[in-house]
Amino acid sequence: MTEYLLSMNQIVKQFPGTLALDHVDFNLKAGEVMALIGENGAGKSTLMNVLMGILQPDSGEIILNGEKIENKSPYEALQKKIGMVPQELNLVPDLSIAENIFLGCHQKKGRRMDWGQTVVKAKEMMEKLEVDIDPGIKVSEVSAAYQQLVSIARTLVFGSNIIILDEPTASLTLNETEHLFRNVRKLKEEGKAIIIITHHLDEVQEISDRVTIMRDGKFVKACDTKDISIDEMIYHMANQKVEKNQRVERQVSDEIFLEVKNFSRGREFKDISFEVKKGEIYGVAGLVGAGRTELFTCIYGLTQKDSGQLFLDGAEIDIHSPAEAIAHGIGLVPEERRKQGMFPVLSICENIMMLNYDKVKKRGKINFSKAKEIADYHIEALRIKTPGADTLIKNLSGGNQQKVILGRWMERNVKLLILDEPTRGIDVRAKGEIYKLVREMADMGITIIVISSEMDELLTIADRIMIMNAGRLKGVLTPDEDMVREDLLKVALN
Amino acid sequence: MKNKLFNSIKTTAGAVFIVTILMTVVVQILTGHFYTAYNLSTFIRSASFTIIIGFAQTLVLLLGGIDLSVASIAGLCSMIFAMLTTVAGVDPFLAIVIALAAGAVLGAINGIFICTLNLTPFIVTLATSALYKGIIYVATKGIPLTGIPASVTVIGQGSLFGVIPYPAVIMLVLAVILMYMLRFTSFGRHIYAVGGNESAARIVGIQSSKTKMGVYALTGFISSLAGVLMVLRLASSQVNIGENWAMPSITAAVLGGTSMNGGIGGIGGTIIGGLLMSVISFSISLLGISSYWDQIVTGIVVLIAVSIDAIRRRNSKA
Repeated sequence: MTEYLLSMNQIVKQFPGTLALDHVDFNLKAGEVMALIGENGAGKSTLMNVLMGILQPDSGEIILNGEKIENKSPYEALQKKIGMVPQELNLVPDLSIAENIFLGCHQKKGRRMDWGQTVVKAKEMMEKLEVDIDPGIKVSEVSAAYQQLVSIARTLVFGSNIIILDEPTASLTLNETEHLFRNVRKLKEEGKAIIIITHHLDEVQEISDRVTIMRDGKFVKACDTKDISIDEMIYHMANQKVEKNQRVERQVSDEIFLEVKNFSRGREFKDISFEVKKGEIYGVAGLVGAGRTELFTCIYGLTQKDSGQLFLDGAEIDIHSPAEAIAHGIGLVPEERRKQGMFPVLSICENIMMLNYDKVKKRGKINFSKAKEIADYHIEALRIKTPGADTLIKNLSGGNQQKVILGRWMERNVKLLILDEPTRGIDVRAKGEIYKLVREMADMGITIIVISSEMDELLTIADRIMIMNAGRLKGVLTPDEDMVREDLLKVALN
Repeated sequence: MKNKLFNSIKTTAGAVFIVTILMTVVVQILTGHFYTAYNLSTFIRSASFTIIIGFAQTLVLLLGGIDLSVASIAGLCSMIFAMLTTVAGVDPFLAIVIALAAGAVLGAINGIFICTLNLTPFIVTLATSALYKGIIYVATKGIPLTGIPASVTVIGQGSLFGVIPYPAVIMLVLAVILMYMLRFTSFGRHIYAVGGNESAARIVGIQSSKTKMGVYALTGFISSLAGVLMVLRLASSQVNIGENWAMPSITAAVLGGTSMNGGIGGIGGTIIGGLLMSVISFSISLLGISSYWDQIVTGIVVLIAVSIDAIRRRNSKA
C-alpha cells in the first residue's frame, strides 16, 4: 500500500444513461511514467477528471501519500500538487507565455504583480524544458508543441508531483515528441510521477514504465510495460483480437485523374507539381508546418492561389470557391472535425444532406422522409453505430462522426476526395474501419488523397506518398512492406 | 405519445409556456379580468407586435449574429409609410409596400457592412440603430403625423370575424411562412448551418455571405412590418414607435429557446417567449401595479428562465 504515491480505489461515476466509471482501481508510484490506455469512451479522461477535481465521484476513495483526499475543484488538486495538461490546452491565447505560466499563481511584490520576476522565472522554467524563447510573446503565436510545454511549465510552477498529460503527442511531430519525452524523463528523475493518456501504443512502449488498460469504464489490467506487447495491449483494450492494420497491395490504373502544376501561394507553399492516378490512394506526408493543409484547401477553393494550374481528367479547371470544387466532383473532409467538419447540433441526416438537399427537393420544398432514407442507407453502408438518423452528431464517437462526414461525400458521388488527418483522435479499431472504407471507395474508382501526420498510417494505406516540408515538395515514394517512417523523414528533411 | 408531450415540456419553450399559463391563471384569480373577451383581444393584439419583432431577431440569432437596429428600422419605416401617405398623398397600400421594401434595404445595409467588411454584427447594428433613429428625429422634428387613412388603419385596429385581431392574424401567417422557410427550404437549412458552424458551412459549399445578406434583409423587412402595423394601430406616427423594442426582441427569442450562439432555436419558441413578456406587462397593468415594475419583473423572470435552462442543460451534459 505504502509503495504507491497515489491510489484510486473503486471509483464510480454515473452519467445519465452511462456508467462512465465502474469501480475503477488505479495506482501510481512516485518517479514512474504510467500510460493510461483504452478505446475512446473507455473512461480514461473521466478518471483523470475525477482525480483533478473537475468531476466528483459518486463513490470510491482517493489516497494520496497515505492520506485520503477529496478534490472538489481543480484548484484543490493543484494545491495537492496534482497538475493536468488537457488535450485542448488550457491556455489564454492572447496572454503572454509568462502570464500563462503563472496564471493563478502570480509572482507578487507585496500586493502588486511583480512582472519582472514573472518574466525571469518564466524564462528559467522554459529553459529547464529546453526551450529558448522570449516569454513575453503571446501564446497564440507559438507552435502547438511549445504551447504544450507552456502548459507543463504551469503545472511545475504549482509544484506538481503528479502530472497528467492527455494525448500529448496528438499534434506533435517526431522531433517535438522526442523533445517532450526528454522532458518527461527529466521530470521522472526528479521523483515526479507522470500519467500519459494516449492512443499511440508504440510511444507507450518507448516512454512508460507501467501501463493501465481500461475498457468500457472498467479497469482491465495494470502491469509493467516491458511485460506486455502491443498486440496484447490492443487485445485488452478491445477484448477481441483486432488485426493490426496491415498493408494491402492494390491494383491502380495508370490513368491520371488530377494534375497540379506549379501551385504557389505566398509563403504557404511554392511551386508544387504532382499527379494523382484515378482510383489511387495518394498519401501526403510531412512535418507540421509543411503546408499540406494549406495546399489542399487552396486547391479546394477555400483560398486563392497566386499561380499554378489544375487539370481534372485532362481538362484544365479553375476553382475559386468550395461550391465550384463540389461542382467539379471534389470533396474535402477537413482536419478539425469539431471546428470545420460537422454541424454539432444538427442530426446525422442533416450533416449528410446539408449539401445534398437538391436531390430531395420538389419545387423548393425539402422532402425529409426521402432525406432520411438516404441517411439510413449510408448509416448502413458505412456501418455507423447510432440509434438512428435523427441522433445529433455530437452524441456520436469520433470515429462514427468521421463516417458521417464521409457519407456526405459519398452521397455527392465525388470523384476526388481529400481527407485531412482522417483518423485523428480515433481509436485503433475505428481507425481500421476507416481504412477499410477508404479502400472500398478507392476500389469504386474514387480518387483519394490522404493527408496525415501519422507516417505509419500512410505506410499502411497509401499507394504512393508525396512528402512536403516547409512549403516545398520534397519527393514522392512508392511504399512497400519494408518501408518505415525513417525513410519518409529522410526525404522530408533532405 | 406521452413521451413526446413530456419531451416538449422539457424544452426551454415548454417550460416558459407553462410559466406563462400559470401567470395568466394567477392573474385571473386575483382580478377576475384576464380571461375576458376584451382584455384577451387587447392582450393578443399588443403581444403580436412583440412577437413579430421577435421573429426578426430570431432569424439573426439563428445565424449567430445579432441585430440591435430592429427597433430603429421599425421606427424609420413606420415614419416613411406615414410620410408617404399623409404628406405625399401616396396610396396607403402602395405606401405600405414601399415602407416594407425600405425595411429590406435598411437591413441589407447592415448585411453589407457585416459581410463585405467582416465587421461584428453587434457594432454595425448598434451604429445603424443610432443612425436610423436619428433620421427619424431629423425628418419629423419630433412631431407626430396624423391622418392615416381608415382604409389601412383597420388592419391595425380591426379583427378578423370580429374576434381575432388582424395583427395576430398577420403574426400567425408570418409564423407559418417563416417556419416553412426555416424547415423546408435550403435557405432555411443554410441559416442553421452557418449559425451552427460557419467553417463547416463554407466547406460544404454554402455561400455564407449570401445567406447572411438574405437574413439581414429579411430581418429588416419584418421589423418594418412591425413598425408599419404599429402606425396602423395608433392611426398616427409617433417619433418613438418601436423605441424600446430591441431588448424585448432578443428576450422573446431567447426565452423561446433560441441560442445567442447561433444554430439552435426557432420561430415557435419565439411566439411563446413573446407571449410571456406580454403577459408580464399586461398582468402588471391589470393588477394595478405601477408600470415601472414591468422592467423589474421582466428582468427577474428572464433570469429565472435562463438559469433553469442552464442548470437543466448542465445536469444532462455528460
